Amino acid sequence: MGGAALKVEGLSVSYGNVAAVREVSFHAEPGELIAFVGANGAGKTSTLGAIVGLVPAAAGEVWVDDVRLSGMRPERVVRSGVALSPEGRRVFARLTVEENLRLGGMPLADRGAVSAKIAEVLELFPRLRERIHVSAGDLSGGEQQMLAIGRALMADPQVLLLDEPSLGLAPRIVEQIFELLRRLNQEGMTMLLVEQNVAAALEIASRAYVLVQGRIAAAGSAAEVMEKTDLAALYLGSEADR
Amino acid sequence: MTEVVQQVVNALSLGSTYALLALGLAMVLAILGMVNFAHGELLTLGAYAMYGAYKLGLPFGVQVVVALAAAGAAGVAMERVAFRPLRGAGFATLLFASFALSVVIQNSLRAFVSPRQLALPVPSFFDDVIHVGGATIGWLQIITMASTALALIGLSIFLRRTTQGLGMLAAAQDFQIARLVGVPANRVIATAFGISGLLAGLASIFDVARVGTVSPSMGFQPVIAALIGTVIGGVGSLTGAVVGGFIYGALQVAFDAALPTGLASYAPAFSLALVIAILYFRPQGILQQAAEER
Repeated sequence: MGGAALKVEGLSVSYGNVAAVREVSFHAEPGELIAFVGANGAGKTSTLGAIVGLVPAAAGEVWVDDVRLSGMRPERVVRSGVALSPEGRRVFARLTVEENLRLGGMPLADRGAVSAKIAEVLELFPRLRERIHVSAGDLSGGEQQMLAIGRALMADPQVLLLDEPSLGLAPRIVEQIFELLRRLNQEGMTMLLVEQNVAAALEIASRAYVLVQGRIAAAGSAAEVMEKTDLAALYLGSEADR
Repeated sequence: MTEVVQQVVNALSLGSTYALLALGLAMVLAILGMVNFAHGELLTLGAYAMYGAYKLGLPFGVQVVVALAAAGAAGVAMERVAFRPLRGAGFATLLFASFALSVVIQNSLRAFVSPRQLALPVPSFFDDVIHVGGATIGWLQIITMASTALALIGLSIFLRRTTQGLGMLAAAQDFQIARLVGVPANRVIATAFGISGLLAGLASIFDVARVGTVSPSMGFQPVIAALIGTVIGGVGSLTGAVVGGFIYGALQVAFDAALPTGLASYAPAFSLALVIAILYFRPQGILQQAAEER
């Protein structure tokens, strides 16, 4: 599970006449965990959507190592080593935990590789092993989040994108999830973490970018961003703008 | 009791055709978010292919294979030629496109084959009956029910036990996320249309065996029944579509049997009234969870 470098240059995303992301540029070194913070509607999810090909980019380029992802279909992006754990988890509710994981392993070469990877993911999430034959729709929020991350890991990605993994979860579960993210990062996975839970995100990230109304308003080491950026004002400002 | 057995067989037999069509319709609806009104034409094309094979003097077994193959291929071609260029278009655009396709196919058959009904005789064993207790059951009914059961079991195994099948189930639940985990969109959509064509082809064989003719508009009434079945079961639920198809078939048979002779011609109206009542209490359909429950 080696990490790759992620580079985004001049990325813009528009919905009709509304610009959601405006010329955003950032990068993550191999094995680095960077955080993307900002209020609702700041363009965080649109940025992730454009990276993985779910949302068409109006301009800009996305690179993972030497592979250009721009214009690629989502099913090709995941085969190029980038997996997303989406906002709201979006597990396949009518499929079992095992089936969700098997689907996540679609980019892998063969059934043997899928089985081995499922075993690996279940090591990370023992709770999912107990619930392996349960429909994903019957899992608790925390279990669904574990499944969403596990499903993304099944593709054996080099870059893992996480969209609001703490959303709607109890603090104890959030702690567990973030501890796991820290562990994955220590094992060398490059990660881009989009979070509204700024304190938790900055605690495990090495660097952070602050997004305001589709633009990067501040960037730096996690400690710098925590210290220098008036995050409360940032959020309140965005609230007032809506 | 005999009467009940008789009517249950009738309901299962009629419901089989609706269920096969409803499942095909639901598969495309769930994955692409479009109601394919040209779905009935897959049944029609299957039946006309069967007619062509009959005219060539091919034996009935070959006619059946030709009907299935033609309907399956027509499903794939329909997606490739008519709907893929419109991928991402709005619901109304796709709806009108499918209407247009339906009209084009029907009128092409009128222009290039015949505007009239054409006789397509089937082997006489379809008309034979067996007596179980006091009930009379036709071989056509038995074959219809058995083939439908086999098709549904086979499809269920394909969907649950193969990676491609799981990919289709995932795409039917959340197409975007399915693509995100690596499910190839084009292949899944083409497979969905191919399967819906095969199911329509199977339904076309039963339809031809029942009425003994083919006609350009023969797919219209069944596709409406299938659409009603899909709605009863719950839009987006494949199991729901099958259950809904059987329920609608059962309603029609029940009203046909229960209504006094003078009201018999109103059986479809009574069935639809009951469908409206069902949807009043469960607008999301019988097997679909309400949005707030999800």
